[in-house]
Amino acid sequence: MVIVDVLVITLLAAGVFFVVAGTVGLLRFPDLASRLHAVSKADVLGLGLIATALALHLLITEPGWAAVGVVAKLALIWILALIGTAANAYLMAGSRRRAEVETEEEP
Amino acid sequence: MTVIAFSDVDVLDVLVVAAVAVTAILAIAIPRRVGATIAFLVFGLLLALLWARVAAPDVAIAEAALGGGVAGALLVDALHRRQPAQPKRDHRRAVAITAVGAALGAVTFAALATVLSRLTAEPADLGPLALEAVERSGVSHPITAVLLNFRNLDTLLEIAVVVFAAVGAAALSRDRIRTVTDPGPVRRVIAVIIVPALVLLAAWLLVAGTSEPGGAFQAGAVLGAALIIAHLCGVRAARAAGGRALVLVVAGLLAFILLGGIGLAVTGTWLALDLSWAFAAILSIETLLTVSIGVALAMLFLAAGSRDDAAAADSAAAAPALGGAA
Amino acid sequence: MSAAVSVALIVAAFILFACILAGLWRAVAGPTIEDRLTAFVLLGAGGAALFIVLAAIADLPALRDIAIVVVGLATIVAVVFTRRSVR
Repeated sequence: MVIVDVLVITLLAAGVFFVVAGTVGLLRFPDLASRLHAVSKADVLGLGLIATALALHLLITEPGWAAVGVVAKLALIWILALIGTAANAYLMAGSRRRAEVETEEEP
Repeated sequence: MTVIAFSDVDVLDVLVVAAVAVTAILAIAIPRRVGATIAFLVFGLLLALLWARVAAPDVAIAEAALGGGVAGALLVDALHRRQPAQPKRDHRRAVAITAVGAALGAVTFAALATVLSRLTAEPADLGPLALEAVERSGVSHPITAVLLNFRNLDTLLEIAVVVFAAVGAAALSRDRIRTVTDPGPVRRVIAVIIVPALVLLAAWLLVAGTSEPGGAFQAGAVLGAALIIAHLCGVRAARAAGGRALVLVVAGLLAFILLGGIGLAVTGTWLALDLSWAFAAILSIETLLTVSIGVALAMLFLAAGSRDDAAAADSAAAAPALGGAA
Repeated sequence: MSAAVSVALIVAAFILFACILAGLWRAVAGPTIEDRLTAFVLLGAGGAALFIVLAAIADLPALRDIAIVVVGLATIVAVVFTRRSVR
C-alpha cells in the first residue's frame, strides 16, 4: 500500500510541477509562439500526469467497474485537452501570423 | 476509505471567495476589453467552484457550461469591434457618482445584514417536504424532481422566455447567416473530434440528470456551445438560423404545453405527472428541452454576429470600387 | 485514502488554483490580443486539473463532469475569435 501511495504522490507532484512550469512559461517567455508552446505542451502533460495519479489511486483503493468508468472519464478529459489545446494554440498563432502579414503588406 | 469532507478545507474557501471578489473587480476595472473578458471568464470558473463547494453541483455545471460556452463566445465575438470612443472624464462628476454608489451600497448592505440577522435558524418546511416526495416523482435526483415535476410550471415559463428571446433574435439578424466555406484542417479536426464529444457530453448530462447532477439546462448549454463551434468549423447542419431552427426551438415549448394538457386530462391537474409514466414523460420533455435550449442559444449567438457579417460584406463589396480609384 | 495522499491532493489543489489566477497576469500584461487570450488556454487545462483533483478530494463525481465541460469548451474562444479571418 505504501508503495502505491508513494507512486501516486510522485505522479501528482510531477503533474503539478509541469503545470507550474507551463504557467511560469506563459508569464515569462518573450513572445506569443513560445508562450503557446509552454501552455499547450507543459500544462496538458501536467494534466495527464495528475489524471494518471488519480486513476492509479482509485484503481488500487476501490477496484471495480465504477473505478473503470472513472478512469475512462479521466482518459477522455486528457484526450479532449490534448486535441483542444493543440487546436487552440494553432488558431491563436495563425491569427497573429495573419495580423503580422497584413501589417507587412501595407505600402 | 476515509474521505476528507469538503467542510475541512476552510482556507481554500477564504481564498476562493477572495479570488472571486478580485476577479470581479478586475473584470470591471481592466481598461482593455480582452483583459476584462478573460477576467470575467475566470470569474465564471471560480463561481462554478463556489457552487460546487456549497453542494450545488447542478448549478456549478450550468455555470461552467454557460460561462465558458455561449456567454464567453458572445463576449469574445464582440471584441473585434472598435472600442467606442471614451467621453472626456469630468472629475467632479466621477466623484459624485462614486459617492452616490458607495452610499447606496452601504444602505443595501445594512438592509441585507438586518434581514439576515432576523432569519430563524430553522429552514422552512418545503425542503424536507420535497425530499420526502422525491420517490413519488418518477426520478431519483431531487433537483430534477423539483424542476420537472413539483414546480414544472416555473420551468415552462422559463422555456417560454428563452423561446421569445430566440424568436426576437431571429427577427433582428440582418442578412442570411453565411455558412463557413473553407474551415481549414484544424477546424475540421475540431468539427470531427471535439464536437461529437460535446454532443455526447450533452446527452450524458441529460440522461444523468435523472439520478445525478445534470439535466436539461446543463445539457442544453453544452449543446448550444457545441452547435456554435460546429457552425464556425464548417458543419452545415449546425447552422442555427432560419425556419427549421425556429421550429426546433418552439417544439420544446409546445411539447411542454401538450404535457400539461395530458396531465390535465389524466389527473385533473394542469402539468401533473402520474407516477406510472412520470419518468418517461420527464425524460422525453428534457430531451426536447435540451434541443430547444441548445438551438436557441446558438441562434442568439449567430444573430448577434450577423450584423457584423453583413457590415463586413457591405464594406467588402464597396472596397473594390474605392481600391480601384486609389 | 491515506492521510499522506489527502494532504498531497489538497496542496495540489492550492497550487493549481494559484496557477489559474497567475494566468490573469498575462491577460493584463500581454502586448497583443492573442497573448491575452492564451490565458484562456491555461484556464482550460488548469481548470480541468483543479476540478479532477477536487473531485478526488470530495468524492463528488459531478466535479469530473465540470472538468469535461471546461476542457471540451476550451476551444470556443479561439474558434470564435478567429472566425472572421476565415471568410
